[in-house]
Amino acid sequence: MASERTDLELVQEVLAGRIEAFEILVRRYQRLVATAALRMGVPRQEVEDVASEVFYKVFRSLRRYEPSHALSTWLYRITVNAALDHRRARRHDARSEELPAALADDRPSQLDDATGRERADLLHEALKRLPDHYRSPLVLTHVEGLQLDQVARILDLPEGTVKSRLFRGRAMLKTIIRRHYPGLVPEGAFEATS
Amino acid sequence: MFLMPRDDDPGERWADAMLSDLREERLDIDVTGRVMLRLEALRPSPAPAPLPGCWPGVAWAASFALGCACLVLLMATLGAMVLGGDEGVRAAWALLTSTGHVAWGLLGRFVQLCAAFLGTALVLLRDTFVLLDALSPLVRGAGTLVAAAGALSIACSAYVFDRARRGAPITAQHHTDPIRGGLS
Repeated sequence: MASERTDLELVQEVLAGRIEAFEILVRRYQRLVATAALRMGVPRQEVEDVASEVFYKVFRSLRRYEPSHALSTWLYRITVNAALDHRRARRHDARSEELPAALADDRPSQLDDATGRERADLLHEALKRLPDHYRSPLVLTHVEGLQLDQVARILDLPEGTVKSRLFRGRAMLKTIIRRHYPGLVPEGAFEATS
Repeated sequence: MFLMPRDDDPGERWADAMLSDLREERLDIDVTGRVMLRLEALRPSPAPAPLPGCWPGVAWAASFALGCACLVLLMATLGAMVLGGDEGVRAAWALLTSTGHVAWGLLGRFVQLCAAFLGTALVLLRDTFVLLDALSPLVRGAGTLVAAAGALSIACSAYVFDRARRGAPITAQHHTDPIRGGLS
């Protein structure tokens, strides 16, 4: 539709005091924020809390938004930080139900032949075993499909650091999947890559 | 910075293929109402509607009239109590009278104290002035001596510096360059 307002126009309206314009931004980006939060390791049942917290933070710091970058990049950045904060806050309570350390536990998962939703859940589990600083670039690059420079901007890191974390993150993920979730990999896949 | 992939890195294509299920995953939520409700709470409450123009005047006049009526009522009550020889009024009057006596006595003592203090301070000041007057020739003499010593010290320093400059060895020759300028 030709009359659809751009993100920047909506941001300017909100800054001018028309809060209603923010509702359009929330509708436009809530799916992106929720999905990114889920992929960053926020439990499915708590994604709504994190998403609403993200939009609240966005609203409170809207004056600091730099229009030279896409709004979605800024949203990703706030979402990644919110997801990491959420995980840190929950880590203490959830220590008892936390999965054992990634490389110390050799037991394979009981689900050897996972499909569909189960497979996605297992992948989430596998990603959760990665340290935060390896998981974030991996998810943003290989799941969200962002470019290296965007990922670097979102994580506020040099591109070289993002690259090296990607290398290590992929290697760790491969080890974790081979040891704990062999059912996620088709026959011969490891042999082909290693 | 160009970084070579590590040997144990399975590569981008492996990661893309492995995580493709997550890429397909979409989460449909609606937090719009929740967010907007929270933001509405941030919005300052609307200011009260302004009153019509004549209302403040009417309110002021009514308050003033009510205040006057209260004052008249109070004075009338007090007058009636005094004229009627009320026991409470007599007690209050006696209390006021004795309080006044005590306050007057205290004030008198305070004034006496202040006067005594001022008298002593004046005597001390006068004595100090007399002492300074007696000592002034001595102070003038000491000042003259110190000034003379200062002048003598300056003269000695100038003499010593001049001797040192004259007796210092020449360490370098000055070359003057008429084009670029310099010391001559």
